[in-house]
Amino acid sequence: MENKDLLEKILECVEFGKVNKAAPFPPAMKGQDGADELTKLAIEQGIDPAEILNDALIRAMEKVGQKFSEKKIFVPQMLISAKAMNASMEHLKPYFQSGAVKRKGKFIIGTVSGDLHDIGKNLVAMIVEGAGYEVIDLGVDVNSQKFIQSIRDHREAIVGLSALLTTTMHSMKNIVADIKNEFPDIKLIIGGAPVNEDFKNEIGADNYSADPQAAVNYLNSLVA
Amino acid sequence: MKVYSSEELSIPSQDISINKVNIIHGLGVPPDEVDPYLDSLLDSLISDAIPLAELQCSYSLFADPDFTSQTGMAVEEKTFSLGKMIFSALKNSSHAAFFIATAGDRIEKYSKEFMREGHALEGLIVDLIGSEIAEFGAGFIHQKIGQDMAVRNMYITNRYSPGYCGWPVSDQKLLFQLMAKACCSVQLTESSLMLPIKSVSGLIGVGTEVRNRGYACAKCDAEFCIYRDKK
Repeated sequence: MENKDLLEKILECVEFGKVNKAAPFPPAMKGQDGADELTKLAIEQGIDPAEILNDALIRAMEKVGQKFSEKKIFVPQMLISAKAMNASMEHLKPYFQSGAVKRKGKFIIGTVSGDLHDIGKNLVAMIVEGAGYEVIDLGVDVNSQKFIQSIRDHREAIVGLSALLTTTMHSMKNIVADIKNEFPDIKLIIGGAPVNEDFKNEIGADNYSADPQAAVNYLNSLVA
Repeated sequence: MKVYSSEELSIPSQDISINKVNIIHGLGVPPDEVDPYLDSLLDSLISDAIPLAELQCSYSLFADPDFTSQTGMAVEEKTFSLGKMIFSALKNSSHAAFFIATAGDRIEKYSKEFMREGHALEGLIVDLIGSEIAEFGAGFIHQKIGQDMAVRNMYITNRYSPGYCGWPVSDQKLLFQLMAKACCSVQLTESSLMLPIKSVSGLIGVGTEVRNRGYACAKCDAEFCIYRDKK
C-alpha cells in the first residue's frame, strides 16, 4: 500500500473506531486490519512516526472532536475512536520517549476538590491527547496543592479544571485563585456542566470550553 | 431527637432492576441513536455488573427538626445549610429521615479494571451501571421509609442529597455524624465524598403536612445539571 493510502487508512480506522482486526466495531469494517496493525505496518514501511501522528492520528481526532461538537457522534463513538488512537499510539511511544516525535505541549487536567465526576474530564483528556498533547491526568477530587505541585513539575503546562456539581463551583473558584496566586502567568481552562463564560470571567480563569474540541482549539491557539 | 434507626438492609442482586434508558442518557446518546452494537454491549455489561452489587441501605429518623433559620435545618444541634429549594420542600416536616445506600465497591473495581486495560467505553458503562444501582438502593430505602411512616400516619417528601439542589456537599459530614452506627460501612473522604463511590446519602422530610412531589427538575435552579429531566 502506498504511504499516503496507508496514512488515510489509519485515519479512517481512528475516525470510525476500528481498533484492530479482531474488533467487532464498526460492523462495516469487520475482518479488516485496524489502527493497531496498520500503524505497525506504516512503521515497518518506514513512514516517519511524526507523519503518522500529524497526518493520521491528529487529523482523525480533529474530525472526531468536530463531529462530537456538532452532535453527529456521541460519547461511545468518541471513546471507541480514542481506543483506536491509543492502539496506534502504543507503536509511537518509543519515538516519543526518544524525542524523535515531539508533542505540541503539556496539559494538566483534574476534577476539582469535592467532586468525583470524571466522564467529562476523561473525554477532554482523550481528545487533547489525540490532538498531540501530553496529558497529565490528576484524577478526581483534586485540591489546590496537587494542581500546584503538578504545575511546579511541568512549568510549561496549560491546566484544565473540571466540575460537575454546582456545589463544587466554589471549590473551582478557590483553586483558580490559589493557582493564579502562585503562578500568575499559567493558562487555566475550565469546563463542566455548571460553568460558563460568565463564571470563567468571575473567577479569573483564561478560557471556558464547552466541549473537548473547544479545549483543543484554545490549546492550539496558545502553541501556534 | 433520634426516634428510630433501621437495621442495615441488604438487597439481593436478583431483586435489583435498573433502567437501561438512564445509562443511555448518561452516555449522552439520544435514545433513537443507539446502534445494535451499543445496545448489545449495554445488555451484556448490565448482566455482568448487577451480580457484583453488594447493595445495602439504612436510615435514621429524628423528631422535631428546627427550621427557624432562613434556609437551614437543625437536628441534634447540627445545622444543615439546605438551600432555598430543599428548605421550602421540608419546612413543614415534623421528622427528618437521613439515609445511606451503597452498591459496594466491586462494581467500581470492575469498571476500573476495564479502564486500566484501555476499554474506556466498557469502563464508563459499568461506572454508570454502578450509579444506577446505588440510585436503586436510594429508591428502595425511600420507599421503605414511606411505608414505615405510613404506619405512623405520616407522609414523606422527595429525597435530597448533599451536593445537589444547592445543598453543600460538606454537610455530608454532619449527616454521617447523625447516622453514626448505620453507615453501611461507607466512609467519608476529607472533602466529604463517600467511599465506596457508588453510594447515595440524603434526607427525606416526614410529617402530616408534607408530600412527595415527584421528580423536581422544573423547580431546581441548576440549569446545566446533567441529571436534569433524566426521568
